[in-house]
Order: sequence, then structure tokens, then C-alpha cells
Amino acid sequence: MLVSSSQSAGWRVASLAIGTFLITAAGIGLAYLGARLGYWEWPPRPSGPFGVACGFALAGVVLFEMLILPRKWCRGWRLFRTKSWMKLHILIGLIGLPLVLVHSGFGFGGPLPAATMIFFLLVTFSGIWGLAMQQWLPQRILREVPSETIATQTEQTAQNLVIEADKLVKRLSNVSLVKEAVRTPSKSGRQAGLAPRLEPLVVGPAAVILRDFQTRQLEPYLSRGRRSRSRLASRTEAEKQFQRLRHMVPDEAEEIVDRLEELCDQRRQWDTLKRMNAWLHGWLLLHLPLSVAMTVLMVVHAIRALKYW
Amino acid sequence: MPRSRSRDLSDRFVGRRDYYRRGDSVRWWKYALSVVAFVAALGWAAFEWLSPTRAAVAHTHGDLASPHAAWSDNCAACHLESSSSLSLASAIFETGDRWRELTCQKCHAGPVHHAHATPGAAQTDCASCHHDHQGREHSLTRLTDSHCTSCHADLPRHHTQGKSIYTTSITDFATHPEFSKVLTFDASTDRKLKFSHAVHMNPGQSYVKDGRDPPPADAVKLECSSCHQLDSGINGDAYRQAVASLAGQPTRSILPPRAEGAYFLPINYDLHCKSCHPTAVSPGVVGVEVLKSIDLPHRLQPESLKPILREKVAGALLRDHPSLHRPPSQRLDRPSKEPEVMAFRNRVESLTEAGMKELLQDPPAENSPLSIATGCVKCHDLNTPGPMRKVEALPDHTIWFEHAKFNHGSHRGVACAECHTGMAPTFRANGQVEWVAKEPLRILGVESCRQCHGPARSTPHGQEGGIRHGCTDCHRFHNGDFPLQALGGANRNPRTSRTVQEFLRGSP
Repeated sequence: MLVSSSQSAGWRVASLAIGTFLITAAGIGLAYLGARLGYWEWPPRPSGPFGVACGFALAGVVLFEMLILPRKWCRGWRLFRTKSWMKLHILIGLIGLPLVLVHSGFGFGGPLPAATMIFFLLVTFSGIWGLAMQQWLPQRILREVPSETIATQTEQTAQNLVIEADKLVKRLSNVSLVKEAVRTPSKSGRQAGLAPRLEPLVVGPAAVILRDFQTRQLEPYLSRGRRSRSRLASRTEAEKQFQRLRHMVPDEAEEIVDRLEELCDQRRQWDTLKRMNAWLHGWLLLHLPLSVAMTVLMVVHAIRALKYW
Repeated sequence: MPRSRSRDLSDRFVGRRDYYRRGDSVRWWKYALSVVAFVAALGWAAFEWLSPTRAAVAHTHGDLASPHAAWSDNCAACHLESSSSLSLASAIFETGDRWRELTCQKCHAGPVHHAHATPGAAQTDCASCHHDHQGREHSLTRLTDSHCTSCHADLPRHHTQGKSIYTTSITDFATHPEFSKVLTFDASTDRKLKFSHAVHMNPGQSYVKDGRDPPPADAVKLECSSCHQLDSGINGDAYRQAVASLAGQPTRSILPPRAEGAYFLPINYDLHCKSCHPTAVSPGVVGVEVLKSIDLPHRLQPESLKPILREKVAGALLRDHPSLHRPPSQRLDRPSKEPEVMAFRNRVESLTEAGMKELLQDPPAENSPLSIATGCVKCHDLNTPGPMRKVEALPDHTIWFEHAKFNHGSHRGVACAECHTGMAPTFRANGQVEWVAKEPLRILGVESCRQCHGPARSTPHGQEGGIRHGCTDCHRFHNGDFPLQALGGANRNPRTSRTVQEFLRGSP
């Protein structure tokens, strides 16, 4: 969710950090002011009236934050706008930060309260981190990955690249396939439109090298991307290799080689997309499990505190 | 017709257009880790609840202090069940108060303190000041100053009468007033014993600078420790000698077998004075050469002393008049009219009166320091003039600052004179020792304490202070008016006695 679409990413991230600090400082300041006015003690005692009240408020914050899960599961019900829900999720989550500090009396307490608090802080900061990533990475993806696809489907869509590359290579080195009319979009969007031939474009040792290149380098890279450890993962190295290919093949086949290079470039973009997507969504691997654990521990802590303390 | 780019893009998903229904790795891991976290958190909770040892530890604020460690897993040993007197709101929002109902006085009975504090000002429950569950090494009695200054910074506001006879605002040791004893001690009225340290600290106890009779080389040179002893030395010769000198009188009150070294033992006449100042009637004064010096018991008022003196005079005369050693010629319960007996009786009476007069007469002022007189008045004040005057009782000065505690043993590294000045002999221009019968208070004030106890600071003499200076380092809250009483004060005995097993179970 963008904090402000009209501002730069840096401004948005900075304003997020400053906003977090200000909300925290304001909450602690209010608590301190109340203590100075004699309403409660300072530092607040977790088991004192104010500390317990903060605890209840905090429990409310946590439970509200966790409501986003059923909201996602039941998104078809359209309970309020997603954007509004997310705004509240963020704002109330940030309010939880001063609440937890004041409730704890700026201490950790025993193992259970300490774990609950540490989890809460991790959840909050992972959420802030995720929000910061969202201010920055989507624009970068748009800029650096013009062939953006659905990040989670890159492995499947990469098979299309493999198939297309295989067809292109066969057209260069196989007579029977040369006759097939293959519609292959070029970089400019125009159809390659090769005329049917009876002779393969690439023959002899060059054909062997081409097939070897396809088997050892091209297919593994298009299929598995960086994980294939192919040299084609490097843009510079890829340019060199394709330049060598161009020297080997006749002029008529250069357009097909260009297309193969385009496919590699697309695969490289998807690698970048995957990496950025990991940063964009990876924080959820911390945020959600810790939220669940923290909520359980919070309930245990609340029951124990209210029953025994 | 060229294909549109969007068509190309959508063709990527041909056959997988429902991809969003299938989980991706991020989503899978997200939920898998959430399930693991949920189970782990529940497992933790279950462990804490189901493991008795863990539950006992987890349900406390921390380890009990070492003196209470035996009840670490027995909450009921100290805590009462949550009070039913609390309202629901109080029970929820004053969670701490639910467990403030403790049974400390099962073992720690003691007098209340600050009876004149306004409601809410005085800490009415033990846990207000003695915070347990702070770890094994936590001291339950060493409290932060805020426990005291919450009231003592503005004492009248917390006093039922709106005022106090004590200093009304003390916030720390830096603002601590001068000790009241230093300010109010009046030697002329408060001193009940005539004693000059200056005279006694002079070698040979001579009273002129070079000695009227120059003291011999082996003259007695008294040190502070000659009389002021920290330990009773219950197994030492001095103790046995003292007990023997009491001739069967109870020893408990005057010779406490206390060896803590905090306070000096009371000065004891039999141990410290008698060798030079016996309670005796000298033959010369009585004027009867046949009478030898008559030793008399100490700690008796003249009215009690007189019959003893009469008895001793009669005994001495009888020893020297064997002719009187014969059975009376008449009934013993009737006064004898025989002339010899009458004469003997009169002689005994006159000698007794003369002896009593010697004991009670005021010595000449100019002769006082020089005379090793043996009478009561040599050292004691008499309260009323007349034949049967009474010796003024001596105040108990074992502890001078009743509201504070002081450990002489802990301060043994510092010379006595650093805090107790004026003990060394000084001399007048004529060479006579400077002495006063009623010595002023020989204790320096609070500034002498601040040299060491206070925030560390640099002075022209070097670094000073830095040693702890909290309220509870010197003061004790409970039964502070009775500093010689032990922990728990006057009501130190518990309500019920228990066996060791009952004690360890925390039985009521």
C-alpha cells in the first residue's frame, strides 16, 4: 500500500519512519503527561490500573490486527474496502507500539511476557519493513522488469520460453521444421516472417555448436533461471555468447538469434522479478507466523496475568 | 493482423489461468510457518501450565529472595487467596493488589510504624517496601530512598496533625539535617556521670602536664579499647571476672552475650572502674583504726546500702572485739539493754552514719580530679539533698542515636578520635589538665559521616564520598525507637510455633 502516490519512494519511506517515531513518542508522552498529572505512576506498573488498561487496549489492537486474516479468507464478502482495511491495519498497528512499551513499563518481565513483547515488536517492525518495501519496490519492478509477469508463475511461464527457443533453434538447423510457419514476435513487435526454405539456415559444425548451446546453456537457463548457474545469467556474458552465434550463422538467421537473446533477457528480468518479489513479500514469512505465535502467547499471558498476578 | 501484447502476455498462462487458486511457495511457507508457530506457542503454554515446577516459576514475578527460597513453589505459604472484598473492576485493574494480602506476620510479627501518618501515606503492607520476587540476591531490607522520601520530603503533608517534630523535608543524605542529639545534648543536665576522658587518657592518669608525681615508666596508659569493647568475650577472663564480681546477681541485663560488634558493650563498673574506684568506706575517714576498708556492693541506692554498711561495720567490730562474741542473755527479738551491747550498737550506728556521709558527701571541687575518692558522688549525681539522697540513674548510652543504626565493627578501620574528638588530654596554661566534670557530647555531627557517605566528589584533600548513603543504610523502619531490640522488635515472637516441616510447608 502506498503511503502517498504523489511523493517519491524515499519520501514515503522517510515519512513512514518519522510517523512511527512520532506515534510512539506521542503515546509515551501522553502516558508521561498523565503520570505527571498524578493519574498514574511513572514508569507505569504493568499490573497497575493504567498498565492493565494499556494491556486491554493492546489486546484489542492485536485482535483487530488479526482480523485481517479472516478478511483475506473471506475477501468475497467485501467487508469494507481493502485499502481502508489496510490503512486501519497499519495505523492501529503503529498505535500498538507505544501501548506495548507503556504496558510493559519499559521492561521485559518474565519469559512469557518477554517473548510476547519481543514477538510483538518483531511483528510490528516486520510490518513496517514490509510497508517500506511496498513504497519502493513496485516502482523499481516497473522500471527494471518491463516484461513483468506474475512472480509466482515465472517457473511455469518460463516453459513457454523454452518451447519457443526450441522451435527457433530447430528452424535454424532442421529442414523439416523450416517449412513450418512459425509466428515469432520480434523485439519491435513485428512478425519475424521467414520465408519457407528447403535448406536449413545453419549446417555443419555451426549447427552442432548451436544445438550444443541450446542444450547446455539456453534451455537450462530459460527453464531454471539463475539457479541453472548458466553463464547467460550475466547480461555481459550473454551478449558475448550471442554475438559469437551471430558470427556463426548467416545473416538471414540473425533475427532468430536476436529473438533468442530477447528470451534470455526476459528470463533475466523474471529472475530480477523473483528476487524483488521475495523482498516485497518475504517479510510476511516473519510477520504472519510471529503474529500467530504472539497472539497465542498474548492470550496465555493475559489469562495468567489476570488470574495469578 | 499483429497480435496484441496483452494477448501475448495472457497466453503465458494458457492452461493455468486458475493459478491464483493454487498456492505458491511464499503462501505455502507463510501458512506452514504460522501453523508451526501456533503449535509451538500452544506447546509452550501447555508446558508452562502442566509442568508444576515451571508453572510455579512462571506464575511469579521472579525468584524469591534467598531468605524465602524455601517457599519458591509454594505461593500459599505467603499469599492469601485473592480477596473477595475487591470489586470486579478492582480485581481486573488492580491485579497487583489481589496478591498483596500476605501472611508475613506469621513469622515476622512486629510493631506498626508511623501511626500518625495520613491514610494512604504510610505503607501499610509489608510488600510496599519489601519487594520480593526480585531474585535470590535481592535485599528485602535495603530499600531505595524513594520509599522514605515519598513522605519525608514533605512530612507535614503526610502527618495527621499537619506538622511534625522532626525535620519536615529530607530528600536524600545531602539534605539530611544535623543529628538531633548533637543539637540538643546539654551536658549539664543530660550527663549523669562525672567523667573526664582527658584525665583518664593521660598516662598514669596524672592531672598535670608533667605529672605531679611523675608517672612511673610502667604507668597505666589507657586506650579507648581499655574500656570500650565491642565483644563481650564471653569465654574470656574478663567476662568470668565480671560474672564473679556480680556475686550471683543476674548477668543478662548488664553483660549481654552479644558479639556482633555493632555497638560497644555498656561500660561496666566492676570491669572498668572498680579497680581504681572501689565502692568502699576507708578507715581513715571513719576514724576508727580497727576498721579496715569496707567494700560495698555497687548499683545500690543509699537506702539499700546503709543496712549493708551497718552489717559490715558490725561484723568488722565484732572481729576485733571477741568479748562480744557470746550468746545474748535474753530473747533475740527484744533489744538488748546491756550496756556493752548498747555501746556497741551506738558505735556501729555512728560509724555507719559516718560511712554514709563519706559516701554521699560532695567532694571539694578543687580536689575532685585528683582524688581517687570512693564515694558515690565521685561519679554520680544525687537527686535530692538530705541524709537519704538518691543516686541519679544513668541513661543508657549504649546507643546515642536511637533512630539510626551504626556498626562500630564496620568502621574499625578509622581511628576513634576521627569521629569522637576531645578525648586526648589537653592542658591549661598552668600545666593542669583541661577537664570538665560533665563532658560535652563527644560525637561529631553529620558532616563527619558525609566525608565517606555521600556522592563521590573531589575536594582539595582528594576524592571523598562514594560510599553508600541510602536511608536504610542508617535507619530502620520497624521498631526504630528501640534500637537494641532485634529483628521483629518487641513482638518478635510469631503467633504460633511450628515444627521444621510445618515451617517449610508454610503452615499458617
